[in-house]
Amino acid sequence: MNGKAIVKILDHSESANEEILDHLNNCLSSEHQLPESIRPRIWNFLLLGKSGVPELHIPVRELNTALNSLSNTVKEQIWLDVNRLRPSLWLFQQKQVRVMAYCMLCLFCYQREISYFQGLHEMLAPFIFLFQHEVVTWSDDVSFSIGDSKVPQVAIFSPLWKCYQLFCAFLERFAPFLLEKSEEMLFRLLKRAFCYFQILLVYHSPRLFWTLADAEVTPDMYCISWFVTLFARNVNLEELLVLYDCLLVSGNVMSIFYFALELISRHQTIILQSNKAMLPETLMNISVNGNDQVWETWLGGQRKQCITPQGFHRRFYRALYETKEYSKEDTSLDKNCIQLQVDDWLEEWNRTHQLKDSSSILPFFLWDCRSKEEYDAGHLAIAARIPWESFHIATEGDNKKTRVMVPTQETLNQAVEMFEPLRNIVRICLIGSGDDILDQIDVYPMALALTRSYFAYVSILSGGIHSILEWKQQRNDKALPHHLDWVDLDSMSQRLIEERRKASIQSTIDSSTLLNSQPIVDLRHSFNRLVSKWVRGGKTASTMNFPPSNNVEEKSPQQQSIEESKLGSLADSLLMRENERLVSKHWLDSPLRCDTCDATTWKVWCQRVPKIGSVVDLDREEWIASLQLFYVQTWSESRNEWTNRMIGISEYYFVVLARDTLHTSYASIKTFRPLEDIHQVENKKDNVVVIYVKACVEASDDIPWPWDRQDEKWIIKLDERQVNKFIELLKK
Amino acid sequence: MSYAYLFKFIIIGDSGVGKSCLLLQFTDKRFQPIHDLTIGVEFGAKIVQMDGKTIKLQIWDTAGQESFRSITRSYYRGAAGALLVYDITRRETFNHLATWLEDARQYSSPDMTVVLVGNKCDLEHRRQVSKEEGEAFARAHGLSFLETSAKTAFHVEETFTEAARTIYEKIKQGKLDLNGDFQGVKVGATANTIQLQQNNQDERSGCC
Repeated sequence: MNGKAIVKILDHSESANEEILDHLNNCLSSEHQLPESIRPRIWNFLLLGKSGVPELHIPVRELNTALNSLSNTVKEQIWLDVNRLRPSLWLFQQKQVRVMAYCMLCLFCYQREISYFQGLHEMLAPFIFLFQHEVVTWSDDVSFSIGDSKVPQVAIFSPLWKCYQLFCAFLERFAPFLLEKSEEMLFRLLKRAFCYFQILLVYHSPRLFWTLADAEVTPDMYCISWFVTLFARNVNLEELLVLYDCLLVSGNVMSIFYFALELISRHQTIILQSNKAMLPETLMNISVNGNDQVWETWLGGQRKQCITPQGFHRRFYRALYETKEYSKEDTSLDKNCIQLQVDDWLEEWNRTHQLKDSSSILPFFLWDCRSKEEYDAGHLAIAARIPWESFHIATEGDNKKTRVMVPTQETLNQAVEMFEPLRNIVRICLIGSGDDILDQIDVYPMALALTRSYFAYVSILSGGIHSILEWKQQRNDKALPHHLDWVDLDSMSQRLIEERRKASIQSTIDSSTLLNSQPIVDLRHSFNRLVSKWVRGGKTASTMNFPPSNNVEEKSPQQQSIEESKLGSLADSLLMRENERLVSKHWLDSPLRCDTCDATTWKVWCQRVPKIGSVVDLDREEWIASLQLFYVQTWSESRNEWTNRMIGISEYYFVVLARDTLHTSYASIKTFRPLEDIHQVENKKDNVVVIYVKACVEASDDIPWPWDRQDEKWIIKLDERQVNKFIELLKK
Repeated sequence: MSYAYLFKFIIIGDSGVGKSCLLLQFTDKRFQPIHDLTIGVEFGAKIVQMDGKTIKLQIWDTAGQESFRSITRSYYRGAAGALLVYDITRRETFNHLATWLEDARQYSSPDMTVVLVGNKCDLEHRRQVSKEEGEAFARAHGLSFLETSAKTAFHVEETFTEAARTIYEKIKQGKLDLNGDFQGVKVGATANTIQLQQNNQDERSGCC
């Protein structure tokens, strides 16, 4: 396919766009670039839909307005920058070219009502370069000064205006996020792009991702000029035109990010060999050399895009182009792993199984990370299970058969070993219960362990098993795909097992090393311990004397064991707790999510809940352990409500404690701001702390509330000394 | 390449004051009158000797344009030293120093050593900011001050080495807690043994 043939098709007025694109695609795959001689014409077709050569349109009047309305600061900045544009090239050394670049940038900013940002000029360069043959040496000296806002002589005649429409159309099509009117928005979107890019990197090249992450090298250090200038800053102009050829023919706005991904992956060896301290410099010098390399990198990027779950790809797209608001920030990104919705997952599944040429897409494997018990109570037919219980854990001097509640480093390593044959030849999707607390134990550590062991293509099914249940419910079991078939589904018992496991996890969370929120966990630990002490002290002594500090160190054997387990195996203590719970069958063990359980079950549970004023045996350890710091996720919103309730008793400070196995998630615990809130307690030394017990179940009209809402006065009062002690302990 | 310490430096200041040229002059001993402008950040490195110890300076040359501030702020993190540059021939670049300094103080460690640099002092005939004004600003904010010319290489070497020496002295006097939060100084393979513990602590276990 040569230039002439393309010209012929372009000349033919009947040619369908698809036909032309087919030809251009063929041309790209054989020549790895578009024919240079007719490139302006092809770009004109691809960007503006015109079949002829780019027309010369000189917007003198508008330029005049633009030059008069832009501030001197902006104009000076633009002029400063065009003088620094590709200074080593003859073309850009010509003053007429610089003046033209200046005029076009001024006009562009004026027309688009955007403030000029550095990098825009870099993107203009390839378009000027496209028409370099039209630049003839002017004998006259180009007189120009930014001070007078008159249209420079050269701008009235210059043929370089031909590139202006193309430049505008290119930016609008391929970098609209750079044309945001608010600078704040522009940089927010840019930061978003960095976040998504990182997730793509961990998905495709986990080794690279972790090498960079461990060296604290973030995309804002190496991607910024790639994204702000669409590589115009980083690639020689000849090669840049080839890259833009590919971009224009594909018409895919997102492909520039995959090009970047492939580019960095191609330099993996150099990056991995490079000294940690040298990484920034190494990354800065990454580039492509030669047209063939551009083409190969481009192709590699396309392949990566194909393997990327399309749902994630679309989320990335939407984050840049559609859902720009702050509130639409994608919170799943901080898990360092691609999270898929049910629909996304189904799409991937179908893509693998329906495509004729499925060789390019790796098979998709679903792994159930939950415990055996939960799995047995219902799982997807196609999901394989990680056999946690079969992994060996070393427990000193303990021959008991132990069941693992929380994966330790050791079990994770064994799981990774089990995955070894699948390394990089399948796409692993991990599925948990969908409950955040359990997923923190089951799914995220596994995902982390896999990417840390450099497994590529690892994803998580967001919402887990529950989201699939919901998905099916929404569709009323109508003609559902067979790969959503359940085995042994008993969602009720599944819930029960989950809740029980959650409760044991929560009660031993103090010693868990899995969580990042260590300070808060520690705080909770001392808090719980403290509460148990008060309660015991309060029951034995009528004066409610706070136990002396040395007594705090005194521990019940059970507590002791929890403390010790901090150092030893966590699984042991969890196991113990689990058994104990199974025996005690405490009322708090069977809370169900009110939106999913039926009314009868709910009522039965309500009846078992101690009523206000009834005697509760506070010495029972499991009860105490189940007290949790309770902060609803939307505390800031409900704050007003609380304040209102406190009117009249404003001298009290409330510390809200609640047994909350239902909605407490780690996310909500994180939003608890201990320091700030302790500070408030501290300032109210004379006041009394009230410990407030409340179940965190949202009651609706048809579901009764276990307590009278107006009567939540089950209270332990503390005197000043106790408050001080309490604060002291919290601070630790 | 082994070094005793690695210092992270950051060069900040308005666009076009010659940040990249200063860096190029320092690292490559050459001056390019027209240099491509920096988008985001670029890096340079140079080895200096101090008391027989090898110190690697990793220099982060940042974008000067106001728009990029929201991104460039993240580059301050963990810098041991900063070069705050203005152009003596453009008064406005001097006027903006306060906001730059405010940013630097806010987004970096309080222990960061800041050197005020009045660049382009070869262009005496176009001077708009007197040396005394620069000195006064530096004194008022507790910075050291130098006038430089990236073109003639005047004081360029000194600027960087002086900043490095200040940091080095702070380390010697134990004013910088290398084992704590201060990330601007990384201890290399050939540092004295006391500091070596830090590396072990820094490397967190790979998984979970």
